[in-house]
Parts: sequence; C-alpha cells; structure tokens
Amino acid sequence: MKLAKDLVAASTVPLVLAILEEGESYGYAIIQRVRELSDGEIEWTDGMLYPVLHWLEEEQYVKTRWETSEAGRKRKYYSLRADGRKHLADHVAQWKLVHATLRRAWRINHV
Amino acid sequence: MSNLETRIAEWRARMLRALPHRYETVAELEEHLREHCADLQRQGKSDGEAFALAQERIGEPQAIAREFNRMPACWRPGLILLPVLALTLAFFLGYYFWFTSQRLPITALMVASLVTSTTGFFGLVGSALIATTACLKSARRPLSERERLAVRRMLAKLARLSVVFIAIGWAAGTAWRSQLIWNSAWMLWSYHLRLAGLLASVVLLIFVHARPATSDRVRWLTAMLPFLVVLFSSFGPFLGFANIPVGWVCVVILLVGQVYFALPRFRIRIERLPDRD
Repeated sequence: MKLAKDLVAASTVPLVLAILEEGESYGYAIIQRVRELSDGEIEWTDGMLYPVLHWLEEEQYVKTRWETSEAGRKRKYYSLRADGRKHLADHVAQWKLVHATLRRAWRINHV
Repeated sequence: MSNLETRIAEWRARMLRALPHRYETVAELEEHLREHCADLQRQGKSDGEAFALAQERIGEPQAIAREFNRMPACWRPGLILLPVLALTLAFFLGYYFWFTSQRLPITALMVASLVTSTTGFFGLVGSALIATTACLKSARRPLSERERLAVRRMLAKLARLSVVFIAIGWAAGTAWRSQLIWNSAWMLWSYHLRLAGLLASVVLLIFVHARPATSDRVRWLTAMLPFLVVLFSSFGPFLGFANIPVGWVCVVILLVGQVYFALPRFRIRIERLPDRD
C-alpha cells in the first residue's frame, strides 16, 4: 500500500525517534528497521531520511558521532537525547489520540 | 578505479553540486549508497544493477537538496524566556534597590554587582571572539557543518548567560549608584543610555539565535555587536577594560580564536570524514 505523502511526512519524526529509542543507529540501518517494522509496506525515498535526521540534530533531539564501521568506512551514528525522549512521548500521546478518535469514528471495535 | 567507484565518484560530484560545501552530509549519503550497493551485490546483483537500484532508492540529488532547505525552521521561544525573566526581575529589583538603598548592605551589593556584570561582559567578549574567528576562518575555507553548529550553539548559550549576569549586575548596582557614585544627572543618564544600548544589542543577539532560519553570517555579526558597544561606549572605566588597549584586546581575540578552531574536537571531526575527493 502506498502511503499518502502527508502521512509519511507526519509519521517520519515519531518513527525515527522510536527507532532511536531502541538504541544508537545510523541512516541505512534506520531505513532497514522501518521496512522491518512495517513488513515492507512503508518505503521511503532513502535520501529523504537525512534532512529529517539533521533537523533532529539541530533541534537537539538527537546527538551524533562519526564512527568507523566494520568495513573501515566512516558512519554517522545518531542517538536520542533527553529532549528527544520527551518529544517522542508528545508524539506518542498525540498519535494515540488520533488513533483512538479514528477508531471510534469508524466504529472499529477490534484491534 | 573500478566501474562502480567511477560511478560513485560521479554521483558524489552531482550531490556536491546540489548541496555545496556540505561535505559531511554528502559523505553520509555516500556511505548509505555504498552500503546499499554492497547489500544488493551480496544478493547477486552486478555492479551496474546494484548501483542503479541504490541510486534510485536514495533519490535525486536536487530533490534531496530541496528537502534539506525545506525543513521547518521554527521559533524557539524557550530560548528567549530566561533572558526576559532575568531582565524583568532585574528591573523591579533595581527599582526597589534605588529607593531603599539607605537600608541595604551597600558594599556587599557593590561587590556582587561588579562580579556578575564583569562575568557577563566576559561572556560577550567570548561570543565576539568566537564570532570573529568564525568569520575569518570562513573567508579562508568554508566551515564544516559541525563547526557551524558548534559556533551557533556556543553563541546562543553565551548570549543567554551574559544577559542574565548583566541584568543581575545592573540590579545589584543600583543601590550603590543611588548613594555613592553620581550626583550628576548627566552621568546617571549616560550610564543608563549605554546600558540600554548594550542590552538592546544582546537582546537582538538572543532573538537572532531563537530564529533558526537566520544565516550564520548574520549570527556572527550580531554576536560582535554587544562587544563593540562595550568597547566604544566608555563602559570601560567602571570595569577595568579601560586599562587594556583596544588593539591588544583584538589581538588576543584573534589568537584565542585560532586556538579554539584548532581544538582536536573540531579538527578530528573534519579529518575523520571519508577522503575521496
């Protein structure tokens, strides 16, 4: 299923923050994790992740470091800061509200 | 150079044209491309196929660049809150001290005032120093993203700290001034005028930093402003700056600035990047 552009844009930040809450990670691995979590249904244009990651860094939600990978190449790792955790909690609360409201509006009783 | 390497080099050149001077970002994207290529090759794709697929997945350089420039730059009112609180509090305290100075421990307040305002002024000297160095360095070579970010954060922090210290210093000093220093109305007014000029320039600096969309050049230039006000408004005599010739201050600023930028934590980060250009 192709996700609408607006929905992709809105869900990127909470999704990335949630993945980083699992532990430090880097761009390529984050994309893999999104694919895994969505059973391959959500596919971003990979490059579009980086503006978001850099914005999160600028806003001090995440911190970064360069590290040498097994293959001897430099990789930029991202990890969550305290502010990022708070921001994620905000997102979770808002998404839960949207989710609950939609479920009631659609009269879905299961799931 | 293998076929794949040539293609990646071409891709990197295109990426750098779309994102000028952003070597770190391009290096990060290149690492992504390479990793994806390697994965696809492991799945049995040829060099050419792997590169074509990975390149398609990562997206067009122009589109990525557009996305970078489009990221929301929102106001950060949190950054303004502390200075505003400090200034408001200082105003009321100063007002109170002015009229109750007879009953207050003048010497203690005077010492507190000198210590806090001098600390505040040193904060301003510090931010001017960092800004000047950033300006000079950027004339020689484009600063890396990490350097820009570090300078930005440092300036914002120093501006906020300075304004709080100067506000406290001003408030604490009111009692002392109302009794001991001036009996001439002009001295008093000129002091407050100069202080207002200084505070205005610091407030400008804080606003500039609370707005992420501001260009780095503007940030740096605004960071030099409060220091220039201090230097040229004869604030000096009250703080001991007058004994230091302007030229020496500038020399020290430049020297310390050079050292600051040579610090390993900046240098290493730049050198650590993939060096394939």
